[in-house]
This record gives sequence, structure tokens and C-alpha cells, in this order.
Amino acid sequence: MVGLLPTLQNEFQKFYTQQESTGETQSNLQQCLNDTREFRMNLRKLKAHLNKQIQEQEQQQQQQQQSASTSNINLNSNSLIPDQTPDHEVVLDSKAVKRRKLIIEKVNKSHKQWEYSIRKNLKTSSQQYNKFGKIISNRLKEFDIDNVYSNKISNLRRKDIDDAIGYHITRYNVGDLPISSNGSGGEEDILQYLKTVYNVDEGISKKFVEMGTIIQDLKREDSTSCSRWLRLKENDNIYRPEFSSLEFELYIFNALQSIKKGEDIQAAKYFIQEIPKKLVMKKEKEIFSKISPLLTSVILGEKVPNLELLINEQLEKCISLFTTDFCSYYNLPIDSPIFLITLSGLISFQFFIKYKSIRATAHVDWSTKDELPFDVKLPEFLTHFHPVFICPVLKEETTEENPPFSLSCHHIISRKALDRLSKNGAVTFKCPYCPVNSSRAKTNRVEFLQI
Amino acid sequence: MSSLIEEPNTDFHLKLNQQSFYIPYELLQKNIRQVYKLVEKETKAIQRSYDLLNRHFERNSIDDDKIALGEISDLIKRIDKFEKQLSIRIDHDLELLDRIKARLDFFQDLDDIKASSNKNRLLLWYQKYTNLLIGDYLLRNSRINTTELESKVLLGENRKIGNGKGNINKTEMNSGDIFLKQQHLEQLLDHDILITANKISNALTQSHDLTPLLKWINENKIYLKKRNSILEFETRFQEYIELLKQGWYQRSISCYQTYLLPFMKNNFNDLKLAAGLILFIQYSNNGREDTATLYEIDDNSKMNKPSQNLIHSIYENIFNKRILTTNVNTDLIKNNSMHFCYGTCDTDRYQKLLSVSRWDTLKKIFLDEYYTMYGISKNDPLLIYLSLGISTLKTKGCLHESIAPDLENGELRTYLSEKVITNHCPVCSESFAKISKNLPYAHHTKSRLFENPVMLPNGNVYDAQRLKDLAKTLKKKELCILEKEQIIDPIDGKRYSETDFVKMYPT
Ligand SMILES: [Zn+2]
Ligand SMILES: [Zn+2]
Repeated sequence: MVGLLPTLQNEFQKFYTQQESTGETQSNLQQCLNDTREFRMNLRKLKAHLNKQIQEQEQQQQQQQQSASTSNINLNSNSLIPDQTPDHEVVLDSKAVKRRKLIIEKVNKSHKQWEYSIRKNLKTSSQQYNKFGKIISNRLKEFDIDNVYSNKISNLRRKDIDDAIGYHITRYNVGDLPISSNGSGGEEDILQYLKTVYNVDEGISKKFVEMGTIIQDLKREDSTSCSRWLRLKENDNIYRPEFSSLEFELYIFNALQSIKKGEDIQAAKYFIQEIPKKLVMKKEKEIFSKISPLLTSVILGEKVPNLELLINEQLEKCISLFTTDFCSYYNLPIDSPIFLITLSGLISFQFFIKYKSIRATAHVDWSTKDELPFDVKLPEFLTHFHPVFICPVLKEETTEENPPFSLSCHHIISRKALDRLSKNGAVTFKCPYCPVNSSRAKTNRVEFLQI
Repeated sequence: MSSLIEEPNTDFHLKLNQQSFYIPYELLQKNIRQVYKLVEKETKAIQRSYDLLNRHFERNSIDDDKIALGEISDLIKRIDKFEKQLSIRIDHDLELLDRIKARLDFFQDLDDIKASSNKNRLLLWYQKYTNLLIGDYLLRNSRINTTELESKVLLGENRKIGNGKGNINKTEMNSGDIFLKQQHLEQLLDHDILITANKISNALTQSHDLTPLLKWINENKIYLKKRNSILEFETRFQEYIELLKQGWYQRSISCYQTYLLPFMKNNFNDLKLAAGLILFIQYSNNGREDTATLYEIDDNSKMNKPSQNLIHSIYENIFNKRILTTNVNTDLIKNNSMHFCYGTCDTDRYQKLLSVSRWDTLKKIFLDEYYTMYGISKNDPLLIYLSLGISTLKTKGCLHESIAPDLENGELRTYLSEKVITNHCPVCSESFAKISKNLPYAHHTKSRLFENPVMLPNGNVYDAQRLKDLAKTLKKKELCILEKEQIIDPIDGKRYSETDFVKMYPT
């Protein structure tokens, strides 16, 4: 079966038609407008024709009136003209009659054409919308996301949500705010902006102001503040971030910019002289693959292809490395909690929905009130925070109330399992996993710790 | 297509975001209905002009042709005007189609990234997705107060917010709107729809203003009627209560008669309560002559004692019968004009009517109708994701704080506490710890431990390599002196020898 996305895309395309004349695509409704415009222009043209026709008639009339004064009887005896015809009626030559008839025909025809066309196009549009709507209402609508929201987040916790959002926005956006710390208010301006627009607590935004300022500098293609920060933190023997390639990437960022400025000699000099000495050994491979071609182009005076794109990519890379280093230096989480939780929510969504529908048909309830009834597989980067130990006997996760115990053979079971096997310490028992005998007295409470 | 981080397939994502297609579709339908109406009206009018025109043509005279000429000019003008009206509708149509296109492209991006197996790009896509949910949440819950904001230094100094030039209009003052624009995500959300909801709800809960809601109710009368909604009644009821609270008795009575009485059939009990309220308020004010009570304002705008007639007329209106003045209870009623009604209802019910929380209830009723109309989820989607996400992440080890060892070496202690013991579990984070407390734990069927678990004499089980690495780092940073093959337990701060390691077999 064709996936939903191609189906939708296919139906969506039908909202437009390609113009035969221009090759442009237009929406079906736009056709209605075209029809109307054409109708109006036709009418305007026909109006001009009619006007001309009338003028010619009037001229003829004048001529005829002049001759009529000499042969009045002739005119009156014309039996084709009805009695009520005013006496200034003109006898038109057959050509003029034909012309007038044609104009009238055309006036009527363009009306009919317009009405037919506008109705047809409107109908086409409407039918296509309905078709699209059917896919959305039938194939796309499989569940209601409200239905899986059984464990509500209390309204009393709105402030915490606001804080989490404030943290997220500050963490990722402090560098793109339309306000900078260069103004008279300095960093206060940024804090004020975040407070006013997003209601971010200063306690949170303060952590990131310095970072935001440096990112703003980088975006202005000025990396000095970033380099300064890096140098300063590198002298901090204890908290300095683990080696990242930020320094190296900044070096390339600067080099690319001097190429952009067209200062070939300076660029070449920069390449050679400013390369961070301690990187030469560590980054030999990168230097060879990244710098050599650039340096060659500079020396040969060749244009570096896609320079703007390269600079932009390099900027993104520097910002990403810098924010990571910044967060790890200040011991802030690299990814915002709200992002990681949302991502976990998204991954688990299908399980909740599946469970909901099973429960609806089978009337099963949550297995334990305070534990989800199903297992969701998450990627490692979302789960590495706490170790999880499942007691191999009871198949339950150990907790503070039911902690893990090590047997003399160093197999581990939960306390409840231990109590059961040892009949509350009354007897020695065989380890469920090996032939070694254990007694409760010889067990050790253990704790799994992730560092 | 296989998943990179256990994420669902593109089809599922589309289903999850059904509303982001349904809403523009609904709007397209609404718009095209307007186009139909417009076209219907115009084709009829133009047909009439044509009938006239052809009658003139039939007369076949120069004078009639001249009149026809004028008729054609009018027709051209008329079509021109129609073109302009149509054009507005068509621009709206195109704008809505663009929204759908942007959304299709957004999910096409996901599909492409999944196909390319680039995990980093996938995470960036999910960041965007998260921002979208945050934008949605902010749009729905924005509480920026324009007047307050205008007085802020921030704006006083003429700095720009968003991309607007100097002047900030009110629509831009929704923080969700600002955020989405900064993120270039505005095409992916129907911000107009959510902002309208936000404005109407804010008027209710923040300024106790019913005007925007009443306007919306008027525009959607047919829809509300079809759904047998109680919204209109509740809104008018609130209007009546507010008038009473402010002492506008005459106006509240006319509100009662005009807007509440028509609901007699379905809301008889509420109407009874409403009528009782006016008397309850008077009763509560008894003995306080200076405060507003059931007064009539006479022509001289002087406050008079409430007329007995007025009370009688209300009573008649409400209960469809006269107060029995010859009743045995007459004395009782005379003693306190309230008793016939008040005696049977308890004070609590009136107090509830007067309580501020009714505004929240009204907001909820409104949002329910509004969201249903557009097929929008009633709960903030972000909160749904968070609730699910927290439960999926929450382990039995969460929300227990590990405390750093009490060491004399302050630097070592800080280092261990900040760099080694703290983990950045999102569930345990400051913002989410309290939220997470009441949510269920994840369910695990398999242990999730580290590579090489070893037990120290104190019962702590660590990854052997991590302990060794930690010792190496601490020595390098000169935070503590450790002998060869010595490690430190970051929780109890004691030194152990690698020879003390006991290899564990957890399963
Ligand atoms: Zn064993
Ligand atoms: Zn945790």
C-alpha cells in the first residue's frame, strides 16, 4: 500500500493545474479569477465595439435625416419598421446589422462562457477539497491524541512547565534573539527581553546570557569573544571541558572569512601561522583533508567553490561545539530536559495508543497503578541516566523498598526474592542461577551506581 | 523504513499530526463556501443585468443601445468589484494551500532524513518538532499583557521585538507567535486559530470581558445550535451575574428577559437559580442601606427603595405565578422578601454563581466548543507528550538525590558532586521533578546496567572501567592523591584498591 505521505502529496498536486499558455501552475480557484478577468476584458472590448457601432449609426442617421427631408414619404412607407418606431429610426445597411448582431451575440456568449467556466472550476476545486478531506478524516484520523492523556499534569504545575520552556528557549535561542547585549542595557536587555516575551526566570536566563552574547558575535563573523572564552576556560585545570575541536573549527572559520574578504596573502599567512600548535599533532588527518585544498586554492588564487555555504556550515558547527562546551563547563545538560522528554513521548506514543485500543476491546486495566503496563524501547542516549535492575526471580525492578542483594556467589536477587527463598532467613538455599548454597546472613545489600 | 532512534514511521507521525492537516482543510472548506456564496450572488445579479441588457438590445434602437452601453459599463464595474472580493478569498485559499504544502514538506524532510540514516539530522528535526509543540503551547497559553509591556523599558527605548518595525501591534504580542516566527515555523501551525482562542480566553479569565466571546458566539450560532451547546446560555448567564454584581439591576433583568428566558425549556433549574440570585444579593445586602440593593432608578436618577412591583414582576416572570399575598406565609414573605425562594436553596449555590472560578469554567466550555469545531485536541499537545515522555523515562531510581561525600577537600567534593554524581536525567531535573512525582514509572522487563559491574566492599556496584577512568582524571587534575591501582568511590569518598573489586553477575 502506498504510504500516506505520497498519497497526500499526490492529492495535493491536484489542487493546481498547469496553464497551457504559460506553463505556470495555478490553483483551481485561481482559474475562477482568470475566468472573471477574461470576462471583464471581453466586455470592455465589446463595449468599445458597441460604442463605435452606435457612433457609426448616428452618423448614418444624420446623413439619412438630411436626405429624409427630401424624401420623407419613402421612409414612412417602409413596412418593415413597426409602427411605434420613433421617427428618427435609421435604416441600417446589412453590414451594420450583422455587426451589431455579432456584438450582441458575443456579449451574451462571454457571459455564458464565464458562468459555465466559473461554476465548473468551483466545482472541481470543491470536489478536490472533499477528496483531500476524506483522506484526512478517514485514513489520517486513526486516534485522538487526547485519549492517551490519562495521567494529567496538574494545572498547579504550570509554573514548572513555563520554567522548562524558558530553559529550552534560552538554551537554544539566546543567540537568535532580536536584541543584543551591545545596546546601552548590555546583558540586562537580553534578560529583560526573555522575561517579558517568554516569562523566563532570571535564574535560568542568567546562565546563558554569556553564551548568547558569544553566539551573536559569531553570527556577526567575529570569533574573538569565543576564542577568548575558550582560552580562559582552558586555563581552568579542573572544570575545563574535555577536549573538543572547537579551537580547530574556529581557526577554519576565520580562515574561510579571510578568503571571503579576498585577502589571499593574509589568508595564506593565517592558515600557516595561526594554526593552533597543539592541534597539529592531534588533528593531522583533518588538517590534511580540510585545510590543504583550501590553502592550495588560496595560493593558486583560485576561487573556493560554495564559499558562502562553507562559511555558514562552519558557523553552525562552531555554534554547536561552543554551546556543548559551554554547557559541559557549567555542568548544564547539553540537551534541554523538555526536548528529551518530548522525544521520549513521541517514541512511546504508538505504544500508548496500541495499549489504549487493546484495553478498549479486552477491558484490561493497567497492571500496576504506578507503573506503565508495557515496555518502551528507547535509544541509549535517553536511558543512560539511571541503571535499572530487574530481579531475575521476581521479574520486578528493584527499588529502595525492595533493594538488590548479592549472594555469596555474586549473583544478585531482590530482597523479597531473598526472603522467599530463605523462608525469611530460616533456611539456607541454593542460588537460583548456580549450585552455590547461600544463607541470608551471607548476603550483602548492593547498590547499582552510574557514573 | 527502519528507525534510527526507535522513532515511529512517517505514517504514524502524520496520524499524530492529523490536526495540522485537518484545520487548514476545514478553513479551505469554509473559504470555498464563502466563494460559492459570492459567486451565487454575483451570477444572479449579473444575470439580472443581462436580462435588462438584452431587453434593450431587442428594442433595436440607438437610444436603447446607448442605455445598453451604460448597462455594460455598470456590469464591468460590478465584475471589477467582484474580482476584488474574489481575489481576497483566493489569496486566503492560496495561503491555506501553502500551509498544507509546508507541512507536507516538513514530513517529507523527516522521510528523507530517515532514508539517509543521519542520526544528527534526525535529532535536529525532532528539535524543530519540539519547538513546534512549544510554540503551540505558548500560543494557547500566552499571557503577555500589552499595556504592561508597553510600559516596559524594553519598548520605551524603541527597540524592536520580532521583525515588526517599531510599532508592535497586538497580534504580535502572543509569545507563541513571536517564537514561531523566530524559528521560521509559523507555516507549520495554525497560529491564527490558536491566537483567536487565546484572545477570547484571556478576555474571560484576565479581564472578565465577555465581548469577544459573545461576538464569536454570534458568528457561530448555527454550529453551536447543531451541537446543542450550553455555551451561549452559560455566557449570557455570566453576563447576568456580572450585571448583578455591579448593581445594574435593571440591566440584569432585561438581560434575563432577553437572553436567558429563551432557554427556559432546557435550563429551567438554572433560570430558577438565576432569579433567586437577584434576591439573594438583595438579601445579603439587607441592613446595609448604603450599598446597592434592588433599586429602581427613576427619572431623576435618584436611587429609590426597590419597588415591590419590580420584585413581583420578576417573580411572575420566573415562576409564572403571582406571589400569593393572601398566603398563610405572607407574613414570612413580608418579613423577608427572600424567603420564598431563598429558604429552599442553600447559600452555597449562590456563592458558587458569584465565584471567580466560573470564569475558568466558562473558558473551558468555550475552548471545548472551539477546539471541537476545528478538530483540535482539547489538551495542550505538549502536555500530552510530556506526560507520556516522563512515564516512559521515569525509573525507580529517579527523584532520589545522590549526595556528594562529606570530604575535607572542598575542590574534590565539588568536582565529584558536579561532574561525577549529578546526572542530567530530564525527569529528575529541577523543572520536572515535581511534575514527575505523580506520574507512573516506566515498565522494564530487562535490566539495563553497565558493561563490567564490580562491587566495592561498601556494596556499591560500578562499572570497573569508569572507576579507573575517574581515578586517572582526578590524579591528572591533581584533585587527590591516589596510589597505583587505587580508586575512589565518588559516593562515599573512600579509597579502595582495584584488588577489592568483586565481579558481579547480575543475571
Ligand atoms: Zn549463584
Ligand atoms: Zn531520573
